[in-house]
Amino acid sequence: MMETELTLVHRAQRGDHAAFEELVRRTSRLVFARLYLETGDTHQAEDLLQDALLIAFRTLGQLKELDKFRSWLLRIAQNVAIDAGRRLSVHKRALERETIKRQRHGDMTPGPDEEVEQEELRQKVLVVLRSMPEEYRLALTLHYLVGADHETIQMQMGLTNGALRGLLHRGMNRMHAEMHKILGEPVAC
Amino acid sequence: MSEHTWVQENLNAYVTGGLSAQERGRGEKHVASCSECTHEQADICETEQLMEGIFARVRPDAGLEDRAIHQLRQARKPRPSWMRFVTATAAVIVLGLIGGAVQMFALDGALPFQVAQVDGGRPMKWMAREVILGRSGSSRAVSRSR
Repeated sequence: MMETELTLVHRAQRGDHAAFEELVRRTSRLVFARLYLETGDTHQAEDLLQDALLIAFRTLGQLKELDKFRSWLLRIAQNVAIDAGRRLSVHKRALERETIKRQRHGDMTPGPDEEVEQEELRQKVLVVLRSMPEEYRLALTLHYLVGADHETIQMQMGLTNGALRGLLHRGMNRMHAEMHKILGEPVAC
Repeated sequence: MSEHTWVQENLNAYVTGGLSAQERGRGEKHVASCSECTHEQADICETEQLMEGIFARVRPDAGLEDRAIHQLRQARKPRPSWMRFVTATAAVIVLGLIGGAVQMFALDGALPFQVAQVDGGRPMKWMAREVILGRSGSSRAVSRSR
């Protein structure tokens, strides 16, 4: 039988590494989804996931309300992303200066058109997802961006099948409407 | 709840694999005879394909959790005993040196190493002693001028 999250958090607080690892298995994709939404970059999201998990591991003893483990972990991820954003903005400015310098020297190599188009579309979808109400945002990100199926989303979000069905019904309908606004007329598949 | 309403509410779950085999059969049977649900399903399907196309390349692979756990294990691994010994020894030496320096400076106003000559050739240790004894160079200069 699958152990409850509460039991796992309790065991992990007492120094049970296996329990913490099980919690990592149950929540990694959720945290990754949140971080991908923030950064829009897979590699950076995975690096930040690692940072967030390490902080969680080291400070788990400070968690008082054990049933709030997920929201606590997502808050850590959020803070990690904010810190990284600050560091990145400095790096980004340096990169922009470098790009301008290269362009002045005649190096104007653009990526393949398709690649550029896909990236633009990806960014548009990310904007739509970020604008979604919190209750749908993570479930939709897990499904569309992380590619998680129903069972995985259920586990990562700690929801029952019925609760997730309702959530996806409302969230995906909103998403379809927004996508039509971006793309125009739907194309049958 | 009518069959049509049930299917409408569960089409998304059908696409994400959230229905049981029996429920899937129930949905498929209705969709086959309902143009509105057929259209709705095609719409969902289109969005799914589009998302698949733009995000498939950037999705984390199946090893995401294993990599995360591996990194955690690495991070909490204790350092080898020889490294701990070297670190501890270095810490003791550094603390000893700092302690010795502070003690000499407080008692003699002298540092355990050569210092630069400042203020008209007076070594800095004299200035340090004056500071400790509460006599500043400027007050001395004033008393001299009197």
